[in-house]
Amino acid sequence: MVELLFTFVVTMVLFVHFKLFYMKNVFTLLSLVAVFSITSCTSVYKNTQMPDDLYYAPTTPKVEEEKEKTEEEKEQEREDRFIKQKVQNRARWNSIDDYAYWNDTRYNHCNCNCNNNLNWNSYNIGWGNTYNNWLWYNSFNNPYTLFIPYTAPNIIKNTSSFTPIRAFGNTNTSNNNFVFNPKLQAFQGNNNNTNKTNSNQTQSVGGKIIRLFGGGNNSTTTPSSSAGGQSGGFKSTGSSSSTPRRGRG
Amino acid sequence: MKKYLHILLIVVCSKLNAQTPDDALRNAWHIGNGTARNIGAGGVMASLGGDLSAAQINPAGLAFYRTNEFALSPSFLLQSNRFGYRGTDSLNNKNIFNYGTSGFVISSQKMNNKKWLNNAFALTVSQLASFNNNIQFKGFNNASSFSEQYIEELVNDGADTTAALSNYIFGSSLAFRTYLIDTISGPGGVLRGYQSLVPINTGVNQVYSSNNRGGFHEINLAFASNYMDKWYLGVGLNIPIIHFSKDVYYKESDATNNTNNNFSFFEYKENFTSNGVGVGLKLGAIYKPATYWRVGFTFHTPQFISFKDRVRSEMTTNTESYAGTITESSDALNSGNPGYRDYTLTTPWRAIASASYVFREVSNTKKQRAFLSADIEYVNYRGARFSKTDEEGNAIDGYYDALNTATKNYLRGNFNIKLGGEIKFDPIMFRAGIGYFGSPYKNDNIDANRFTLSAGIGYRNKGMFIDVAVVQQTLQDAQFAYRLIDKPNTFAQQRTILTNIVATLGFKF
Repeated sequence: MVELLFTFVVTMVLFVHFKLFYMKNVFTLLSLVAVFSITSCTSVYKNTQMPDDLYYAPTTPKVEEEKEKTEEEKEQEREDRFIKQKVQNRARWNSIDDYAYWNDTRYNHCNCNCNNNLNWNSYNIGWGNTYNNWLWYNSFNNPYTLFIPYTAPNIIKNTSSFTPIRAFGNTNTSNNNFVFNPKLQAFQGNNNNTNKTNSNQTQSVGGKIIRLFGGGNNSTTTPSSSAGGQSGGFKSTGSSSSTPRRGRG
Repeated sequence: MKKYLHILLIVVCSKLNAQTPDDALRNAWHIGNGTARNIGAGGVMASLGGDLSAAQINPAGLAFYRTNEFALSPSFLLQSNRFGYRGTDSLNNKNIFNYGTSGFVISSQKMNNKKWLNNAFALTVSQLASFNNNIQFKGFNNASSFSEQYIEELVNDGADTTAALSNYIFGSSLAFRTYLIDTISGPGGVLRGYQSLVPINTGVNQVYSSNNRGGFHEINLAFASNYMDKWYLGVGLNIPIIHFSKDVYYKESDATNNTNNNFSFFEYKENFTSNGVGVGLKLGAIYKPATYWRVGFTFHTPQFISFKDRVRSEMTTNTESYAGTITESSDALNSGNPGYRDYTLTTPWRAIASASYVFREVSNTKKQRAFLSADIEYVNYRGARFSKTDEEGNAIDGYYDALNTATKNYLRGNFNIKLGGEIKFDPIMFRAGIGYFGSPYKNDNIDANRFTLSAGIGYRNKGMFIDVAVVQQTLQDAQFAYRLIDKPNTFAQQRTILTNIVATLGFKF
């Protein structure tokens, strides 16, 4: 027990001070606790049956008892239930004022299974309780009260194109290459989905891929030196000067 | 004056391919992890309880504990990858150690309270996902080029040569400086657009490799209570801790032997790290409507994870007689510093409904025979959201708006289904399970899903237990080396067999 509390405290201190990325440390500490546990903690169930928490539940002693009780105990339990029923609803059960008579095994006084009826009643009482719990649960754990709503999508406010991000919106896919048609002396797509020049911005000139401002039309697009901005999310921290592009020579 | 403008631009606003919906997906689309007992039974735990993995799935399940328990779950992951890219298959393997749910639970019984019968507290750690893998594929392509994303970006941004030179130092500027891309001039030297030097008509051989490392870890502090053996309620505070890094290598080379077509090859290298820590809540309830039956529901709130990303990139291009071989790096343009970005990711919420049949719920372990359980989970992948930190100015608002819109349009919510059970012959137990995780992508052209088959065996006696499980996951996904706006995108179809072997050693105390 002391080892576990120690582990918890040390783990939290590690987490607070180092903040993150030290899962190996946490795991190592837990390993140490395992060693402590082997040497000191396992003696509890060495000589007794070790419980399995997944199966065992305190409500089920009923089930267990019904299977293990003697007939005498069962008879006693039925009598107890009968008395309880009589107290709860005297008008209904008043005529049955002699339990021993009506439950004499030599006579069959009722056509129904009395034992089942008693069980049903007891179950019904339990159900009433849980129904109340359900109301409480629903108001406490209502997912609609916990759901954290997201804001509605906003309109992009600045002029950056966000091209790398917008490319995720292009759902057109193709994994086929173009096939050279010797008759036409040209490449042709072998997939209806694929079009080599499927945009007026995408043109191939002399085997090179190009993109033109305004899609190559007589556009008024004026290139700007402030393009780009912080649209990528990454920022630089350096202060090196912008060196020019090396000459082609 | 122009020189100072360049300095200002570099200091203030350099960029690379930014956060993407894939970043959000990496932290949400995984099968999870657990103890060997949990994994062997298919990962079901939303209505069962009584296992340490309940702390991370449905904390209400901890209320079934009437004992104290400590457990460790080391595991070993074997991965076998097959990537099909434009008719060429690439194979590789990667194996790595990781761990399932480990920690302890302490229970206490309330002798004087006839309604709230017992409580339980648990502290667990678990590696929910391993990012360690090699994404490697190659193929011939005469339809599109990696370099096109750069000219698309410059043209769409309306970038002049000054911007192309300095404002994209983790991507387009490297391509421009190494002459992988160049300007197109009109009459009078007016800039009309940009061109790629890649001779797409004769095609290029493309090679992509990404060596990924890291994992998604989660610390869970959970508390649960048992109300009259009918209701089991739990709440958990979870602390996700994420480390992800990748070394990307990409190469395009001329598919011909022509040494006069102004292109031989280019290489792009990127070192990217992303570290995050956050917080979230898990709320759950389990109800017992009848003997042997349990139904459960749990809701995992979005996690708010603060990320710090760092990136360095480098490009080498050989354009033969056009400009020769030139290498440029972001370090050289940024005083040796990496690019950085700090932001918050809000992960998708998820909800699980479950039902179990436990035969028998008796204390005598000799009479405990079996359980069968099924979980159905909904994950709202499209609800992932990126947001700026307080230090960021308003100038970046548009970027995050675009990013979140793209995430919403690219992803969708989907269901995961798990079914599993156990047969018990005390002290030996045998388990099996099956699971299916639906595609998180809105685009039906992308074939993506996860399918799991699991089996396990366990031994419990004399205060200790040992469980061993094997889960084989078949992952189908798509890997994109680059994306374009105005052309069909090409991708590698990934089929990975992940075999996770988990052992849990636990003690009662």
